[in-house]
Order: sequence, then C-alpha cells, then structure tokens
Amino acid sequence: MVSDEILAVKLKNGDRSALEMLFERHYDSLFGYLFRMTFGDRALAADLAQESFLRVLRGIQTYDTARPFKAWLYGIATNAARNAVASADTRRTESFEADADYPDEAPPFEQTLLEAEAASSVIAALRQLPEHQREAIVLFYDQSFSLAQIADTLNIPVGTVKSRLSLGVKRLREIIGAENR
Amino acid sequence: MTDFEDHDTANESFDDSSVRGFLGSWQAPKADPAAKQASLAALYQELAANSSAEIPPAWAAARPRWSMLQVWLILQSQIRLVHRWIWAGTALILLLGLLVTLASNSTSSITALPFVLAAPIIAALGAALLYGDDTDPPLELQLSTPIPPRAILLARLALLFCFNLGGALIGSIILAVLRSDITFMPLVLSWLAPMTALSAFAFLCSVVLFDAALSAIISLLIWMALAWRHLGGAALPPAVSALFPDLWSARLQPALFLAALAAVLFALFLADREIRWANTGEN
Repeated sequence: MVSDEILAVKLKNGDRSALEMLFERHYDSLFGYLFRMTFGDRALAADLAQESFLRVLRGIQTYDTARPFKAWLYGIATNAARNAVASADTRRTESFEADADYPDEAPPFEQTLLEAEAASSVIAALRQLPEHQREAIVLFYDQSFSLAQIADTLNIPVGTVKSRLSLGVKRLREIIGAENR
Repeated sequence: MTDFEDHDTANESFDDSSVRGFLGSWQAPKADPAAKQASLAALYQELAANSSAEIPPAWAAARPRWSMLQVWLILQSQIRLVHRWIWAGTALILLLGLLVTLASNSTSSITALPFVLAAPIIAALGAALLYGDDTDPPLELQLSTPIPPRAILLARLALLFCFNLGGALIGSIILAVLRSDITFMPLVLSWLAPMTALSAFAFLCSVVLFDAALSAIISLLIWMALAWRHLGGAALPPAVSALFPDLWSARLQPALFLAALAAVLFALFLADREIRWANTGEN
C-alpha cells in the first residue's frame, strides 16, 4: 500500500488520484474525531472535515514529508475544531438531538433513548475536561493514536501527552464514579 | 516527586478500561455520504484552481520563515501574557528612583545617583520573573502552539527590555531637564551597560534554575554586592575590589554588552531543551 507521505508528494504535483486516496483513507475517521471534538455536532463536524482537507490542499506545498501526514492532517483539524468550538460554544448538545431525526436508518425508540443518554453523559464528561486534555483523550481512546502520534499531531513532547492523558483519565474516572453513585 | 514523574512512573496508567468503555458508549455516526461526496467535489475544484495558478518562483519558497507580521503577533500575544505586576512594579520603582534622585540634590559622581544605581536591578528583577513555573501559568497554552519556546522567551525579554529602556530614557530626560548638573548622554551611558548586563544575567539565572523567586533573590544579592563595591571604591580591601568588578565603570562597558549578549544566547539555547518543557508542561 502506498504510504500517506508518498501520496502527499504526489498531491504536491497536483495528482488528483492521490487526493482521492488520502480523502478516502482519512475522511471517515477524521469526521468521527471532529464529531467528538464538537460535542456531537454532525453538521459542524462535516464542515470542519471539509475545511481541514481544504487547508491541507492549500498548504500542501509547505508540507514537510518528514512529518507523518496523518499527524499533520489531524493537527490542522484540531486547530479548526478549537476555533469552531470557541466561536460557536452556544451550540451545546441541541445538535445531537437535532441529529436524531435521520429517518433512513432510525433505530428502535428504546435504543435511541439509551444511545442519547450515553451520548449526553459522554458529552457532559468531555465538556468538563480542559481542551488540551480532551484532545489527547479523544485521539488516544477514540482514534487509537499512539503517544508518539499524539505528540506529532499536537506538536508537544511525549511526556506532555502522557501527563495530559493521566490528568484527563483521572478526571474522567471521577466523573464516571460520581455518575455511578 | 512531581506530579509529572508520578504519572510517568505509573507506566501508562492512563490506559483505563472503564474510561474506554465509557467513551465507547457513545459512537460517532457514519459520515453522511452526500456531504462526503460534496466535500470531495469541493476539493477537486480547489485542486483544479491550484493547478491552474502560477507556480511560485524558487526564491519565494526560500523566503524567511518569520515574517514581520508573525513577529508582531508574537510580541502582541506576549504583552498580554507577561504578568501585569511586572510592568506596574517596574514603572513604579523607576518612578521612585527618579523622585529620590530629584529630591537628593547630591552633587557626587553621576554613577552614584540613586536612579543610575536602581535602573539595573529594576530591569534584572523583571527579567528574572519572566521565566519560571511559578510565574508562568500560560506555559501549557504556549506548549500547544507551534511557536518555539525560545521565540516566546526572546519576545518577552525584548518587550520587557524595551519597556525598561523606554522608562529609564524618560527618567533620564526628566532628570536632565530638571537638574542642571546632569547631562543626558553621560547619564544614559552610566546605566545602560549595567542594566543590560544584569538583566541578561538574571534571565540566564531564571532559565538555568527555573525558579523565578530564587533568580530574583540571586540577582538582588549580586546587585547589592556590586553597588557596595561601586560606592565603597578605594575604601574597600583590594581582595573585594578584585572579586567584584565595578559594574558602573566606563572601562567595562564594551565587555558588559558582550557578556549580556553571550548570556542571552546561552539562555535561549538552554530554554529550547525539550526535557525542560516536558517536565513542566503540566502543573
């Protein structure tokens, strides 16, 4: 399989198929990451995913192939999400409720209720984490990034990643514990 | 043991199954295929527009990494992040030095004026407090930006030094206007080199020790010793005179500027060491 970095070099030369391959490889997981980072705002996550790829295209000439492409892409997406969340913090969780009316593949009513309850607990917990801890937690648990990948993505030392994860997990344990009581 | 070390030795204590299960209870939905196709179409459009655009010349790719705008933005951000009390304290002590000098009416040497003696330690205390875990709450924020730590520190040092320089120059103008026995240029030259050297030393101290309070105390003690040496003059034993240079001596000025430059460069070199930032990133 051709590596992301080689595809990125091809993309620098304007290769359309390289763009398509990179897009297909990363769009879904990037959308999932942004969905969590925007606390379940499906439309905003889709907008940010598109915006991230557009920024990749606009900045591809400055991309340093020594850095993993995925880390670069997620770094761009993280910045986009930070800005969006900061400027649209009023959206809150209504967007999740709005997402519930997707008629095509609507699950049974009880299942939707359970999912909505789980979602609102996780969203509430994620909201209680500081932004930098939330990013590390979502990348580690949801995106299965390694410590080195998170460090590359967020442009921080691995030690700082460990520290953010430890503090984030500690906080989440407290939240989960409080919910179970 | 620090909080960080504790986490580190816990050997990836953050991989927690209860947290994994909790987060996994909320699954992200699949991306909307229509939105995905629309995104890809927009990307194709962008790619076509990029391809038709003129390829930049080779010299454009080799242009400097830091534009004036970026430098300005970093400086602007650091104005907000440096503690307000550093600015206020510096201005207040400079003002006090000025008032005391005006009130003293001393006709002794220009280098013995309270304002000239005070200017270096004011600048040094500010520089000592610029860097340290106890005085730098926005450190974590800065770590998450792509700006190198040494650029941030250099920006802070430049800002504070310019502020001190401006304040001391204004004070010198006022003194030169209000006191007929003082002339402007000799007055400026009498405090400029000591101020530069002592603040550079204090900055180096804070980077090496990573303790703002300790650096400030060390700077203060050194300044007291040097002021004592300067004011004591010939009355001091030769051993003391040999141990401490006269910081306000005109003969030493070129050496003081060079020493200040070396101290700042060394401090910046040390400041970018990754382990320092990694160990202090979370408090």
